[in-house]
Amino acid sequence: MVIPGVEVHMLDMLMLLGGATLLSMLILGVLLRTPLVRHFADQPGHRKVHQVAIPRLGGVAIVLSFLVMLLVAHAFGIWDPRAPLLYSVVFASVFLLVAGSLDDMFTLGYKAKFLLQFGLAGMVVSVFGLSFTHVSVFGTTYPLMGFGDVISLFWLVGLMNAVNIIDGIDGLAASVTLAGVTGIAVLAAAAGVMSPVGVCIVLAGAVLGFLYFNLRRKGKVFLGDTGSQFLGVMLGILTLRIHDLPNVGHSMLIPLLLVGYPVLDLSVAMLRRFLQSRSNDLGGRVTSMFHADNQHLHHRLVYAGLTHVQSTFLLMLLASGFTAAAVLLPALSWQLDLVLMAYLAVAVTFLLGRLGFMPVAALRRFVRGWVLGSELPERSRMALRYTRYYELFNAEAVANAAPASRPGMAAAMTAVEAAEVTGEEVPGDTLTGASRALQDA
Amino acid sequence: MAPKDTDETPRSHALLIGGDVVGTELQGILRGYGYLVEQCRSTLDATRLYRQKKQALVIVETEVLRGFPGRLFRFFRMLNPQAVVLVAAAPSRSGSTGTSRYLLWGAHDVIQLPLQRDALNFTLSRTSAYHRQLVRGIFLRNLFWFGLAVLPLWGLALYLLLWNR
Repeated sequence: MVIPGVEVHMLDMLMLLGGATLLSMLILGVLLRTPLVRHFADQPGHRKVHQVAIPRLGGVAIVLSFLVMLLVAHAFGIWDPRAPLLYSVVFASVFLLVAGSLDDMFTLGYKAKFLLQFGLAGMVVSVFGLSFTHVSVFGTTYPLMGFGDVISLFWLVGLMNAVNIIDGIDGLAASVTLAGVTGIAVLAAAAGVMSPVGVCIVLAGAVLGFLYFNLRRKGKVFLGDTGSQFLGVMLGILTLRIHDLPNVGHSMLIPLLLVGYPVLDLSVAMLRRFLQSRSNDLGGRVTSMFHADNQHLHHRLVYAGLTHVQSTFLLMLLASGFTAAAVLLPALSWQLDLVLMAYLAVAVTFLLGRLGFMPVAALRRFVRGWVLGSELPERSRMALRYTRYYELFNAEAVANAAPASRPGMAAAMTAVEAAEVTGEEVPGDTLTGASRALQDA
Repeated sequence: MAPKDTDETPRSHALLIGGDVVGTELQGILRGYGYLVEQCRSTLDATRLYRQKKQALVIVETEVLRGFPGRLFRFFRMLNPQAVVLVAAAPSRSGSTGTSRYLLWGAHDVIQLPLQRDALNFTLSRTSAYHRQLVRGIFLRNLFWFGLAVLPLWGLALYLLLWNR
């Protein structure tokens, strides 16, 4: 394949892919034999699905192999050395390696992490000039001006966190990234721009090498926060780069579809938390959207009994569907694009329903309570009333309470349990006394 | 005999509700059958855990049941229609009539306490085989629907890329 201005050979691309894969596997193989294994271990937890400590070295290997192969590709003259894309990905790689090491050494809080993420995104947008400049709506292009930089900032930070969130089962974040970079490479190659293609190939190779260790039974390795944020920022940078290609034409849909699965998972999670929140005010409901839980799409499949590989395969099918739609959009008229998007919306809604993500009861309660302002049925009001007490009077709270308070709290716990199964009201003085005892404890 | 377990064996989740009798002995046995086991001591904690993971198998000791357990059993099946609910009960004075009322209220089977290995193995091997088939069915059905949803998109994309240049 020969591209005007740059001679590219398929064999070179295959060698880059294979080289990145082997290098990633080699680096991981070496790292697993060092004391870093114990230092970077991910311990099991109540929101985790693994049962033993697993080293989180995948991201380090991916970044290192990515950087080395970029140098090799530059030495072969595959990219224009002035390309802002090349410098931005190198900067992002080094930045995340350093930031990830700081996080592992000092366990940074969420504010510090956000600061670092916004710092990285700010550099990519302002220094390297990668941002959304225009937006195309129904065939007409409008300039975004300053808003484009702000949107790009949140785009990059959002993707870093979205990919971090979906990194919950073996191979998911890596597979979804592979689906995304495949679409980006196809779109860039169709437009005759090889710079993003080369980056995608090297990134894909590095990820494939990691997947070998991530999906195997013994000697498993996790991606870690460094790796998931790296994959997220790479997807963000690459989608920003291809946004102004002739075939993409400043469409916002195509970048959204290329990262469709992380965006979908994040959106569904936030909507579910908003609708199912027990808070009585809007601020509380909005705050609850950012609370972590273990009810994401991949959790549902694993809790149903599927293995990680089975769950990842199903969700990667979904991600590949988004990628196929992104590749199709430039080839169709805007009317057919609407038909395609309608099909995608129906298909995704149906698949989410199969995974049990149609919170119909929560939506009905929200509409009835917040929009129509009408009274809830007796059973729903009782369940809402006792929710707070379910959180207070559990076995652990009783065991940890002062000895004098335990009988009252145990009685309240028994009464609330009975109400759960009999539907009868709990005596008010029982709950009041136990609440007072809890506050005094 | 418990089936051979590998790291890639689909694992159903089990929830044990009860005290030491249920917890200590049954946890090891269930793990041998390939279940991922969680335990709690009250139905209140059980409802909270069940809302999160919707375990396929629930074993509840009669000592922790309060009031009318039918509503609790219905709650389990409301969140997971395929859930199997077993009750662990010591022999009652009224004989089998006493324990069979749990079947009337919605339990699938009764496990006799103290645990009798033969009867327990019969129940658990049947249940674990059911759950293995269930998980296989869940995967195949989802594979079918996910594939069906995505296939038209990929077919069209490949057609445009490879044949319609």
